[in-house]
Amino acid sequence: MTPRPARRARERERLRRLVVRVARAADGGLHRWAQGPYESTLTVVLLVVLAASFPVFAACAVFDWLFGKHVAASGQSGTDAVPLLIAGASMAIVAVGLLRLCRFERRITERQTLTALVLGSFAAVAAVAIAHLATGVVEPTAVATAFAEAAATVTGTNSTTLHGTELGGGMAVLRAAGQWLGGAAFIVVLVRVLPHLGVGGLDSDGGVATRSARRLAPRRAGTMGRLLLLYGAITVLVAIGYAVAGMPLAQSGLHALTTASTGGFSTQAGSLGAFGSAAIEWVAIFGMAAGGVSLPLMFLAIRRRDPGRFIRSYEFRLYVTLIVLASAAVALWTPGDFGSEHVRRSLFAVVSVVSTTGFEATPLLDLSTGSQALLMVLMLIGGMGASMAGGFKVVRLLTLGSFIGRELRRAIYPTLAQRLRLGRSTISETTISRITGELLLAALLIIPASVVLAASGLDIVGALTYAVSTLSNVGPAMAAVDSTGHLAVVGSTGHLDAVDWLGRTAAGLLMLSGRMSVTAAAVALSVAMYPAAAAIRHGQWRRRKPAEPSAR
Amino acid sequence: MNRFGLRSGRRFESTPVHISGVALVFVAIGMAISAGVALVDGGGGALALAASAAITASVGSSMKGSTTASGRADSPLAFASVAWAWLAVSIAGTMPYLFSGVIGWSNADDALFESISGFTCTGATILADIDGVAHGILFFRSMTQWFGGMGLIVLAVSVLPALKVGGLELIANEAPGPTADRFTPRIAATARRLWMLYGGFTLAVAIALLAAGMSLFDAVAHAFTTVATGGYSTHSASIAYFDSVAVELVVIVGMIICGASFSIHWHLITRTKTQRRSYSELRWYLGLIVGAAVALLVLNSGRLSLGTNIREAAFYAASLGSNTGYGLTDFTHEQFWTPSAQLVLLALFVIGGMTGSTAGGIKVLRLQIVARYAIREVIRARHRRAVLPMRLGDTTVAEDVAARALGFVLLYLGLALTGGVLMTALGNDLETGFSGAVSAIGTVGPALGDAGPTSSALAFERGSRPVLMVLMLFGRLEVFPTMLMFVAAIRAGTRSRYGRQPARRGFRRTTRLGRPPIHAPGQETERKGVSGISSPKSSTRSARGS
Repeated sequence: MTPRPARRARERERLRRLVVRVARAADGGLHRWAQGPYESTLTVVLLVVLAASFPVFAACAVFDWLFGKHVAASGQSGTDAVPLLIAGASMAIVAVGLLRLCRFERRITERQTLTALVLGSFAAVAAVAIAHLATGVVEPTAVATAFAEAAATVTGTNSTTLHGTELGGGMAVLRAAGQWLGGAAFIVVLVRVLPHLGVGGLDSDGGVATRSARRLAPRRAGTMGRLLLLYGAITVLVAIGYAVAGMPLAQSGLHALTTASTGGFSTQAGSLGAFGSAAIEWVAIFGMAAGGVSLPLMFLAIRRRDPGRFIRSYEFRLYVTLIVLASAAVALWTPGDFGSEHVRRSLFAVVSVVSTTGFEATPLLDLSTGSQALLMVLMLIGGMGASMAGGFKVVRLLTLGSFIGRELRRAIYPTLAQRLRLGRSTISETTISRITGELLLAALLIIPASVVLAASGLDIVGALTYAVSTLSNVGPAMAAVDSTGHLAVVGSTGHLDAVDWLGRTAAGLLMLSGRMSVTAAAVALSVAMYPAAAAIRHGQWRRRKPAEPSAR
Repeated sequence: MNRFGLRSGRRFESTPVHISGVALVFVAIGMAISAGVALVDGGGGALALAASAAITASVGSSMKGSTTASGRADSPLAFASVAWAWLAVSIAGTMPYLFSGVIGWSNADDALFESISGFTCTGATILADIDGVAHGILFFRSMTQWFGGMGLIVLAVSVLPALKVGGLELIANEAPGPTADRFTPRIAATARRLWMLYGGFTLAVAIALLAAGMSLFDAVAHAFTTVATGGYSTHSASIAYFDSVAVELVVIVGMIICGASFSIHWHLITRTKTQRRSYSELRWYLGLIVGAAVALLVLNSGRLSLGTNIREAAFYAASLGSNTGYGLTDFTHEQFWTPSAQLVLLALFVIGGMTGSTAGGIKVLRLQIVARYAIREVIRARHRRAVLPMRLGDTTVAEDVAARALGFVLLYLGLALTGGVLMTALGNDLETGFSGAVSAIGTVGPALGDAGPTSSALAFERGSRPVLMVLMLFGRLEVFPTMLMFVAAIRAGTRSRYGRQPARRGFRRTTRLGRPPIHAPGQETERKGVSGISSPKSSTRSARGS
């Protein structure tokens, strides 16, 4: 898809005009700069992402100098700043230099868009991994660890080997900001890429998510700006909430970044529970729940001042019902006095898992086994479509539910002709097959992935739940990994420690394929495997055919 | 004639009751044979078996005699008949255990568990000390699986495919017997041939086991449960009791053969032609077993000595690949088996054997469909307008058949997950609970965690065992019949009240659009700009309002 020249925006808001101008300048600059002989969109995307990491790294370095002592365990500012700046600058110089040699292709096919998406996220992962290696938070030889850490950062999964308290200020903020930017990038993909592709039926939401996302504004750039603005506003609100609830200011900023993006990294070893404050946990509950709600739905409800939109949305109703029922079940099944803390902790665990954030107030293993099983199923389901949450998405569950219902009816009426509907709109058969395809691919992926994870050090339950958890971008899983008897359940203090390099690589790949949808990952893999497959099929390496005309 | 259709001397029409009666009479015959075995053996239990036989026979024959089968053979009626028959024989099967005191009256639910596990060919047992039980009862216990398998083989090869359950119509044309238009005579003819085959296999396995060194009683009992892919053994240690490579080999070959389609066996033996599609399923089935064996060999290579490793890998790949559930050593022991190897076994629990066999699970055919479907979606993500028929062997799978198979798989997975959550909520740990649910719905028998192949189902909390019973019935009858077993009764009610046609909500809803209902599952090329959703109403309204 060719980037559109951003024409002069008519909107009055200065902020959005600024965003549009910056984007236009960057876009135009990019086109002028990238006029080299080598025509490859993929390379351009790769290099642009690498180059764009420099400003992020620089901002993190500046933050480290200014406020690092409030975040870092050592209480010192600027410990990570210089390595971050050097790493960012060298990456940017190399990337910009190479960019000069490349240029965009005139036309981009669909599968290239998908591949560009996958490659872009890999480039982001590479940049963050380099930051981890450069600042020395992981061993210079532990490439797999750095990859897994970076994948967790980019995809918003709370699964890591690093205790929050071991990090310097620069890395702490880079990891939090990485999760937030990963979320922002997801919005861009949601508005600009997925409507072209319909991968995995993400656009199957009965007219609340992407379909209306395209109608929020006359142009896609406008829609994107609005949604990003909403995302930013939620983040700011959550940050204010944390600060009011008594969290230190710098900490509340970082936690707001990982709450709104449903990422889940925390600067505390015991995640959010370490603060021991009911108010903070309530803010987190609402922040995480908001992260799991469809952004376009929220935007329309706010813009039109029509809260009834939430109630009218089937998906939202099911989402809330799931949270309420599951919290009640968890609270009832887990022994303990039925006080406000018990209820809050149950709600926290459920919301954290459904929104695929992965914060923990109490370790998951302290809950009853039935609750753990329920939480695992909720992990699979995830949040609403077009939200920041991962997982299979509530809307797809709704669609599949009605699909199964139709199959049951067809067992009785073999000639039944019935269209599936969600609210007022009809769901096409294509959409259903995309959704089922996505689910089946995920199911076919989870089994071998858990075998690999089990082979690299986890027990059976740990391997299965961790595979589910990483694929849904949650992070925590149900397994005791510490031999000392301390039950380390949350990824933030455990899981990656328990597995070897093979398991870490597998976990990183699972996180990435979960975030991009398994279908997209499979397509990217098939594109990457194309030469090999062709070689096998024809007994020789085959040259790629000239690009087909775009479907736009 | 009163409103129930009953009048003295007249039979009333109820297929479910009639079929249940016939099944009960069969089971009564089995009980009588077991009573004979108990008498010959002299170990006791003869009286209990004879009493149960008498009760079952009288109830069964009165049910059979007072009703007639309906001339209609629509799917709700067939579903109801099958599901109620299985339930009836399972309840009757509790009597020998209770009367003989093998299971006490205070544990009547355990007796039902044992009976359901038998008739569904699962093989999860409640008996902690099997070696101490009277031989007559054990013979009956193995026979429940054999009878279950007998009913099942007809169901799997002929009835369910004819009813188009879960995409099984793919194998409908392969059933041995006449391809007549009418349902009932075809099934009768097919059943005769299948039972001949089934009995022949049982005889062959029994002779082979006898030759491998088993006693006559053990050989016959194990032949029953091998051919039915059930997995009940007459010893607590299961096959490990015999500690003989020859026995293991016979059992492995028996399990693999009986986990394969009986249609294929028939066509191979009679040298008639069958479709190549079924050979593609056979290839997948054998490939899966061999692949699993190799994976187990590799994953366990550090823990076991090479000889033991090969024996265990081959045995368990066959035992769980055909969903039989015989045990050798306990694979849940951490010091012998790695967790990753156990996960491979869990995958086998889910997949199961071939269609047209007594094995459980989602079946290899559906796995093939699922895999092709998923791969096709990947291709279609790249080439959006591609029209890609689904191929299996030399046949093309129609879209609605694939949709049925997918619906089945999704329902199956959903039930397994729900069952797992219920099992853990009722007090089992995660590993035992989830694997127990998967094992029950796959009618395997052993599970992971505490409920390994050498331990018993007592490892599950008592309150959670009813969940397993329900799951076994669901899994055994291919989910749909058990789910829809009440529909016939409900429909009969609506029919009498509203005339011949039952109310069809689905139709009414779609025809309100003012055009004939169009149904074209799958291959709809997407219209430009409408990705995924086509709203028949004005789109602006839905944008504003929904």
